[in-house]
Amino acid sequence: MDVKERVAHFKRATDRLKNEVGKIIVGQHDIVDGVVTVLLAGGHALLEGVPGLGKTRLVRTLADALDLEFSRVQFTPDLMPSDITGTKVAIQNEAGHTVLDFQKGPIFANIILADEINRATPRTQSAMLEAMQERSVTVGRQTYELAHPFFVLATQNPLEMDGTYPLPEAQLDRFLFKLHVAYPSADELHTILDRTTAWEPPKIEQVMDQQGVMELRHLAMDVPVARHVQDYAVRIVMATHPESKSAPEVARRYIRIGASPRGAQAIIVASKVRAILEGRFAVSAQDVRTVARPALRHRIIRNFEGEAENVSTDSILDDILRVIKESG
Amino acid sequence: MKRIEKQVARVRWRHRWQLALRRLLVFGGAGLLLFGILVLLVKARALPTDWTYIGGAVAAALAAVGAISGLVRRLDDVRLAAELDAVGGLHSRLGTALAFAREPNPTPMQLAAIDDALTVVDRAQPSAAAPWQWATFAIGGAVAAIAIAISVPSVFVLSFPVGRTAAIGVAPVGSAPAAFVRGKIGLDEAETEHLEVLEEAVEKHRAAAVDAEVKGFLDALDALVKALKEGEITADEAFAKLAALEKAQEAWSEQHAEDLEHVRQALKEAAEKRRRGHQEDAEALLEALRKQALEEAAKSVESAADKLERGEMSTRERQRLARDLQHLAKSLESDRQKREREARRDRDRLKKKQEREKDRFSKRDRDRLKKKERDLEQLRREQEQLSEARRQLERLQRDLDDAAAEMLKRMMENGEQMTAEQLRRAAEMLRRMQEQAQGRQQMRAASGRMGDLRELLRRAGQRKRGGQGKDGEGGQSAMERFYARAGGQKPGDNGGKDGQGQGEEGQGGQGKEGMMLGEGKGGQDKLTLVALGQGPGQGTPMPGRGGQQAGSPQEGEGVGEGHDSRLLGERTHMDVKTKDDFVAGQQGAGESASRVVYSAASRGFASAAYRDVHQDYSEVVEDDLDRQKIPPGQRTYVRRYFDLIRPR
Repeated sequence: MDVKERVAHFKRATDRLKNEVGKIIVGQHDIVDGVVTVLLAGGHALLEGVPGLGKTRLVRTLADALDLEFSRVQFTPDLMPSDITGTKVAIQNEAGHTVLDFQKGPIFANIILADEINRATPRTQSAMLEAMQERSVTVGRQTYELAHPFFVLATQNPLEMDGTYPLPEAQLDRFLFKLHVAYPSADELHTILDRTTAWEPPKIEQVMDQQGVMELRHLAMDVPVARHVQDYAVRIVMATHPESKSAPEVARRYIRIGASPRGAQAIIVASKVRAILEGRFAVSAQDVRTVARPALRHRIIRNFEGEAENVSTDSILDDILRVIKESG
Repeated sequence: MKRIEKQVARVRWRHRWQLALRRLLVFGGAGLLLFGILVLLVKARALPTDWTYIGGAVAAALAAVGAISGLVRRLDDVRLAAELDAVGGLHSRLGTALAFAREPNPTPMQLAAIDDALTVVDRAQPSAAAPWQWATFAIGGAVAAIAIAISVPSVFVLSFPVGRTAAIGVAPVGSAPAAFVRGKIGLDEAETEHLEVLEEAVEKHRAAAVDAEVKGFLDALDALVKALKEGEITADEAFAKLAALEKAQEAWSEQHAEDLEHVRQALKEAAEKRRRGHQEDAEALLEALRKQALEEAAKSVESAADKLERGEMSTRERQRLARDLQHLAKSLESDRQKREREARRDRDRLKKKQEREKDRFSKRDRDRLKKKERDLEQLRREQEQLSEARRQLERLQRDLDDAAAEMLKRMMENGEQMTAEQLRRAAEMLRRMQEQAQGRQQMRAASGRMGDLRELLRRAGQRKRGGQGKDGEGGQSAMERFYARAGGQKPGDNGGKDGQGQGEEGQGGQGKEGMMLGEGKGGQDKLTLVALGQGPGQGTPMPGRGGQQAGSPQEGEGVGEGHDSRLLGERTHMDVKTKDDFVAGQQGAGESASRVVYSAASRGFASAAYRDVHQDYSEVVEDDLDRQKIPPGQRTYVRRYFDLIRPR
């Protein structure tokens, strides 16, 4: 199979996946695209939205359509790290001896839903995020590799902040995308009601298995990026640094710390997936522009003035994207 | 790929042409600005006229360089393709394809991307990627056209007051601010008359001039006055020529006339010193030197030379004459000459000693000899730096000294011929000094005339501009009043606040203007202006002028308090009490005279010819004008006054 056919296959497979998800999740195309992009880019996504917008449902549907092992962890303040990673318990073996055996936690799955991750203590969050980064878990002296693909979808509620532990910036950086889940429109709400209030919910077919996901991921990483397009991504990231000459006024005024190189990596990797999702063979500036907002919005730390004036990172990024031109 | 490159080339040329146009405007604008500055400098005479052409050429070259640099500007094809992508919504396909095509070993995915780009190349829109910015160019072009329309004609139209700018560089002190004048000068009746007076004065000086340089200078001034009178030159040219003449006059003064007065004074003092003796043979020469009449002195020296040559002089007479000349020469000897004489004597003595003793000549003496040589060299350098007048005095001293020495030496050998020759050389030197003195006087007079001429041009220029401005208006009316008063008329209007209007009335004076002139003792022929006032008929000098009513002949005695706002500087605070005084010439050994002269319009007793009196007073006033800081605009009134009362 030549490149063009492989790309066409990729597009067909991902379209089928999106169609299956679309059976349950009405609208939210950007969120679905974002989640699929993160899945194929090998990253993790943080979904932020008020309760009831279908965040959990989206992840579950995705897991169903992909024939991957799914686990859900509801984060609460009393959740312990071992509740996620697993722990060693004393059991009797066949010879009658008592031995310590490692019981895997819910993190040993392909798709993990970390629901309301900001409700767990920093210690537990740290254990989770460490596993996300290292893709392995160490218990005692034993290290356990996590499954491939390993895809964490964390959710957090922007409201009800009492008793929560907001994720530190260093840990937010581990998420490839931070996606804002918005309210559905009236038409979409009608459709949601029609579909979810019947006796039988829509049936989801498995369109891709673990192997298929890994193949698509490899293909996506082969998508080339021209230097001038990569330069565009670099200039966007540089513009988030308040001390940079190319930073617009709003960035200089409201940003304390700009995006790290990991942010630039996230943009390029996500852009590659984005390009191939649209059936193209190379990354375009528009891809970079599209993924820049979800890839950078949680990597920019506002200063006191920005927080005091409630300037969102999205509005700062909008200004940066307006100032930084594709053609340089 | 060619299809992509073709589209990119179209964008490239659109960019280049726009860049060329933009740079043409920017560089051309800068060139135009430079051109404008150069034109201003040329108009201000800070640069020669050729710089106008240089400026034009530079402006054109700058514009051309701007346009060419825009046309040959290197532009990155990938960037241009990216512009096509952005405008056409091509998802960076064209730019990416060009970038991948440059790769030495493109991957299958890159090749696929290139193929993909070729499918969308027809959707590229070069015109949208690099649209012509007509509005910007139209504004830029309009600004450039206006700038050209203003600056280029200014080369031919705009004219600066040449006299002023040139005079700033040439004669910074006392030069009058010149007015903006263009075209031929239209002179009114009074100005034409003034010009005629100037012409007459210049011609008189020219006729009397002996020195070739002075004569040439006066010729040029005369030509300028004549050209002005005939209306042959514009005000610009007149001011330029005037400035050149002033420069030449300054140069001449610096070169020739410096220290002349000191030299004449030295001659006089030397003659007076020798007068204590009773030598009859040199009396004529000494008397002439005392009077500073150098021509007479020269004649007396020549006469002595003739007498000596003809053998009409007895040995005793020759001895006396030689001694007189020797003493005179000694008196004239300057410090530098004394030092030189002593240094030369010491050096000669040491040289003789060196020749005599040869090997035994001590190191100390050798050092002294070297020192004397150095001193002589130094004195020679000092002599080179002396003014022409002082050098002439030194030569005269040398000639007289040599003549005296020769006379004493040749008494036995009857060698009168050589001595007479030396005396003639001394006479020639005296004549030269006399010529120089005359030249200086003529140049000084010419300088005053040039000041008048400048003022005349300035006033004519102001009048031509419509008499606008305080100075122009006021100056004109003041000039008219002045003419009326100087012409012997009693003005019906005394000038309002002009002058001192609050003085007390006089005691029935006759309204005559009195001047008293005293002469110094000992027959000095130096005029001293004792008092110049206007008061009662007795000639009592009173400063200021009383509150004169229209037609009233009476004049005040007191000091006025008003202040003419047109005059420069603070008002005069006359808070001191004045007292009448009488100053008479002091009786001395020589000829003395005192005389009372009434105004030219008045009939009465006069002890001297009016022509002589006018000449004397004019010279004294000219000296006074030179010495005092008087605004140029006011000097002209004084000079004009003396022109108007000149003997006809």
